[in-house]
Order: sequence, then structure tokens, then C-alpha cells
Amino acid sequence: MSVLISSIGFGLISAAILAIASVGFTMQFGITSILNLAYADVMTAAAFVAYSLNKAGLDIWVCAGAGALFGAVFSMLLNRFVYAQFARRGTSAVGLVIVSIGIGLIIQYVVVIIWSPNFVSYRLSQGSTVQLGSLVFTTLQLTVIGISVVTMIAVHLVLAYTKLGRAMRATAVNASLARDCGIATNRIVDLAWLISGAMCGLAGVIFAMSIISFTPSSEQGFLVVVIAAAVVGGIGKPYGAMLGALVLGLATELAALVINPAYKDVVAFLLLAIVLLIRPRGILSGLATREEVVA
Amino acid sequence: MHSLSSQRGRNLVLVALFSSALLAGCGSSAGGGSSSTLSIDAFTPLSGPEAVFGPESTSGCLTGIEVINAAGGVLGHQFQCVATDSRGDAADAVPAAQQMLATVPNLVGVVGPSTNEAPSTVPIFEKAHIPMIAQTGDPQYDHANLKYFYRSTPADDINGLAMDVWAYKQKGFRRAAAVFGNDVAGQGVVPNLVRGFQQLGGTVVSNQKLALDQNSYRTEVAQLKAAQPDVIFTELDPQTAATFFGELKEINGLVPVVGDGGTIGYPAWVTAVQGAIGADDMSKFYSGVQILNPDSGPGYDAFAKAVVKIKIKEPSQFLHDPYTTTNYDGIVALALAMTASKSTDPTVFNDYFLKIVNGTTGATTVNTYADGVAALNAGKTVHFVGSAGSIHFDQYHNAALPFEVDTVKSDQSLVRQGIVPSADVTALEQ
Repeated sequence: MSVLISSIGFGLISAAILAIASVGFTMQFGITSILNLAYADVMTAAAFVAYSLNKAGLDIWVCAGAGALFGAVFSMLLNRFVYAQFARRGTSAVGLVIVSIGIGLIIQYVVVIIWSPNFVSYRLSQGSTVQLGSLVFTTLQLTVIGISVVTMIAVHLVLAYTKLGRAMRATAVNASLARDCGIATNRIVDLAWLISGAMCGLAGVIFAMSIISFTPSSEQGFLVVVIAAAVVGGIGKPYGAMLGALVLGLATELAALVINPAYKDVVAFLLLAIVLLIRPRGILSGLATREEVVA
Repeated sequence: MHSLSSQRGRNLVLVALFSSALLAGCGSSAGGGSSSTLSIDAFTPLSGPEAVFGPESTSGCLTGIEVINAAGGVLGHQFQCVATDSRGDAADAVPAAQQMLATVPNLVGVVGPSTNEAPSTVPIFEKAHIPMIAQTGDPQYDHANLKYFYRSTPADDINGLAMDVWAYKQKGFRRAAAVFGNDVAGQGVVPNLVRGFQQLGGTVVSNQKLALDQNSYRTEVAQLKAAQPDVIFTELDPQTAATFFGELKEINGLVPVVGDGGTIGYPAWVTAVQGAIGADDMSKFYSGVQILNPDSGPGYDAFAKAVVKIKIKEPSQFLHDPYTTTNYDGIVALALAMTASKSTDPTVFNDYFLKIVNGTTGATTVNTYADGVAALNAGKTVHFVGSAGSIHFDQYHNAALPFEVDTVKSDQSLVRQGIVPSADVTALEQ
């Protein structure tokens, strides 16, 4: 029983990291309809920016902030000067996916050139152990969960209660109509990529902390799980991505316990297939339409 | 004590080595090889993910022909080393093997194949009656009846038995956990490892097959903790190992870890795990069991003098490489088999190979090719003990070698903790 409860706790940690990444990813798609497959590479680049600063002696959380800032600026520039240019010239959605793969490769190779393909690790402490009932966390893990919760609440507040959030939702639903209504959609798109890029960068650093030693290719496989979480919840829907992250985070840890660690991925994607069979547009698809929680 | 840093250069010198090998062999074989020149082909991955294995094969091949040619060749024939890129891929290797058989003149032996391409190419070489000095770690050859196949380094699963012997007999561990990846390389080791430990009297309290490169193994670590092992056996890729052992340290605290050659033999693995658990804990809790890196003896001295003469970049990096030394020994033994049989026809001299390597009653022990030829010309039978020491091939043509156990210092140099004799491993294999 204690291992089961521990697994649930571990699932929450995995979900916390996954939530930050998948909400950022799904926001990019929701606002601009771009399936940015270079997302994991931007995460990686942010992780290495943070690594350089950490190596120079800065505290890991300052470095995480710098990684988020890098992710924000880089993603915004990436959209404005690459994806938006292709979209303006009429490149199809599939074409943009290919462009994003190419961009991802370029980023990957540049990271290798700058930082080498070797394994590196952050200088950080796991902190002391905290017992919460049967759950045991380190202060580092609790900090990660806390950051994730704060990020999710912030996303919710922005989307639901601010002018910017309303403008983002309007742009997502119909950009030209929003523009006709006086919304500066280009600025809104920039801001959306800044926010989602910050989550991308932050997720990159936290993911690298989580796997402990990392290389320029370590975060590639994580993209599949990020996309799965976004799709489970309903692609383009931040609340769906949060829910998807929670479901996948718990499912993979519990699968390791109940079934077999070798089949963690299989269980996660089996779950994805089942959800899509029952609700082809994701768990929150109907709810999203009714309540207009499309970002 | 050996430095891992020298191994780091292998990838970097690959291109240079391949070029050198071609200059030494391919260039002259395809176009200008004379009819009296005999060819050994280093059939090995020179490109692709497995390319790291190529230099070990080609360096052994080049060193072998260096000493053979310096001693006047074989029955008046000079030797050349030809490099063929198997690409480390079962499908790609087949046309490469067929092209090699069709184009390399006077082919008398192959250094290779390695693990990935062995299943598809061993039958081709066997049918062509070409003796193979193979490096495949695939357990399927543990009991294969092949006439021309000689595995000069122990299979991966034999490495698992050596880990058992070290942990149980030499360190006194009784409760073991096996933590391996769900890939072929990892799972190839597990059955023999588990059987061997139980046969010795130990208990395998947990056998975990991990999905590779996950962002968390905390649940697996919690399960391991509940099983309370006093030693962990492992082969995981560097990323997985770093995450798993980092989380083990965080959740449970480390317990002794014994890795196989797929861990200690790879600088990237050491770097990743050292970064995850810290250099002090790496040194304290981890040890790796790998094929003994030779470093002394008259056969080794002859090899060491020759290897630094071969025309590749940084030849000294192969001085303590067990694959280079066993490949070298295999080629010298093939050449002595030719001399003993007075034939360069593989169907004839192949029958002499085991006699030369395993030795026969009354045979004169020789440690160099030149001494071997002199003894044979004097009418004696010879037992060749080369750079890797005395090698004995069993009825399935698998060599038994001792293993060494090393820990890793903070500068990543290795400190030898002990030796696992081949006899102990062989006894457990029965």
C-alpha cells in the first residue's frame, strides 16, 4: 500500500513537469494552429542556457528563470520570423510541421556545437525530505509541484479574467474577426508565444533537473508525451492539457507499479487511444465548446 | 589502473583510422593486390551508431599483419588488412559481405562480425569456408555448431556470470536485484545472470525490466527499495542509468551496484552516472565487470611493440583494449595454423586453428608469430599464448577469458578491484 501511495506522489511530480510543457505546447497550437515540433528542442536549448549560468555559479532557480526568459524570447522570435512568414506565404499546416522539424534539427545541432553532445548535470541540492502522510517528497520536488500549480493558476487567471486572455481566446477562435473587432492580433500572437515559450523554457530546465544528467538529445522523447497529454485533454485547450498531464503522469507511474515498468509507454499510449476512441477531440472537447475555454 | 580518457578519442579517430585501414588494405587489395598477398578482412561497423566498434577490429587486424609481415609472412605470402563497413546493421551487412567475398583477393579470414550483423552474415561466411574471429556478444552462439566461427571474447551473458561470481563469491552479497533495460542488449544478459546467482546460492529479490529514457523511475526505485537487495546488477543506457541511480540515491540511498562491460566500458555512461550520483558515491558504490584488459606477459609485450607501429592516429589508445588484443591474437593464430598445415586454404588450415590456440599435449608454448614459425619449422607442435594470455575455445568455439572488476575515480580513471578467473565463470556456465 505504501508503494502505491508513493507512486501516486511520484505521478504528481511527473504530472507537474508534464503540465508546464504541455500547456505551453497546446497554447501555441491553440492560438496559431501551428504544431510546433521544435518545441522539445527549444526546451533543450533553454536547459543548456540554464546549465551555463548554473555552471557559472548562479542558483538553479535563477537559472530556471533565465531558461524561461530564453524560451519566451526565442519562441516569440521563432514564430514571428519563421512560422508566421511561412504561414503568410500560404504554407499548409503539414508544410509548417515539416518546417518545425527542420527548425528543431537546426536548434539541436547548434546546441551540440555550443555545448557538445556530452552528458552534463546541474549543480543543485535535492533539499530535505518532507513527509506528507504516506507521501515523501524532497523540497526540490515540492518546489517543482508548487511552480507548476502557480503556473497553471496564472494561466487560468490570464485566460479567464484579463483583457489579454479574452483577446487570446478571440484570436484563437477567429483571428480575422478579432482583428476587425479592433484586437491587435499580431501583438496578441506575440504575447501568446512569449507566454507559451516561457513555459517551454521552464519545462526544459525542470525536465533536465528531473532526469539529472542530460545531453542535447535527452528531451526529444519527452515531446511525444507532451503531445499525448495535449491530445488527451483536447489539443489547443490549456485546461485539457493540464488534465491530460495529470492522467498521463499518474498512469505511467501506476503502470510501472501494477503492470510492468517495461510497459510504461505502452500503457500511456493505450490510454491515449482509448480516450480518443471515446472522445475523439479529447476529454474536454464538449466542455470546452460549451464554456469557451479555448485559448 | 587504466585511463578512460584514451577511449574517448575513439570516435574522433574513427575517420582517420578507417582511412588508414583503407590505405593499408583496401587500396592495394581491390586494384593492385598481388596474387601472393593474402587478405584478412576487418568486417566491422565503420559508420552508423555502432561505428565505435570498428577501430577495435581494424586495429587488431593491422597489428596482426604488422607482426606477420615483419616475420616474413606466411609460406612466402605477405598479408594485408582490408576494411569492409558492415554498418552495424543486419540488412546492410549482407550485400557488404557478399561484395567483400566477391572482390577481396585471396581472402583467408575475417575479423568480425559484431553483434548486430552476425545473425545475417555468419551463415554467409560459414558457407564460404572463411574463418571468423568474431566479436558478437549474442548468446545464440553460446552453443552453435559452426566450423569456421571463433568467438574470441566472451558473450554478453557470460559477462553476467562473471558479475555473479564477483558479487557472490568475492564480495559476499546474497540478495541481488537485476535492473536492466528492456532492449535486446540488456535482456540478453539477464537469464544467465539470474540463473548463475541462484545457482551460487543467492536470491534474486527483484528483476526489473525498465522502459528506457523515461523522465522518472521513482516507482521502480520504490519497488526496489521494498525488495531490500544488498547488490544491484545493471546494464542500462547512460540516460536511463543516470535518472534511475540519481533517484535511487534520492529516495533510498545507494546500495552497491555492479555493472557489466556495457557500463564501465563507456565513458558516456560513467560521465552520466557520475553527474547524477556524484563522484564520491560513484567511487564508493559502483564497480564494473569487464573483460580483462591485458597489460603484461611476453605475448602482450610483443603486441604492445607492434600496435604502436601501425599507421593510425593515436595507436596507443588500443594498448589495453581487449577486443584489439584478441583480434590480434586470432590473426596470428590463423597465420600459425596456415604454417602448421602448410596451406593457405581455409578448408585445410581451419582444422589446425584450435590446436594452435588451445594447445595439445607436448606442444611448445610460443608468444609471438616469429617464435611460432621457428618452432613449427623445427618440427614442433605449438601452443600460441598471445597478448590476451592463454585462451581456450570450447567445443562451440567460444573463448573463455578472465574478467576484471574496476571502480571509477573522480577523474574517471579506473582502479582495479580484482579479477574474476575464467575457470570460475566457466564452472558456472555448465
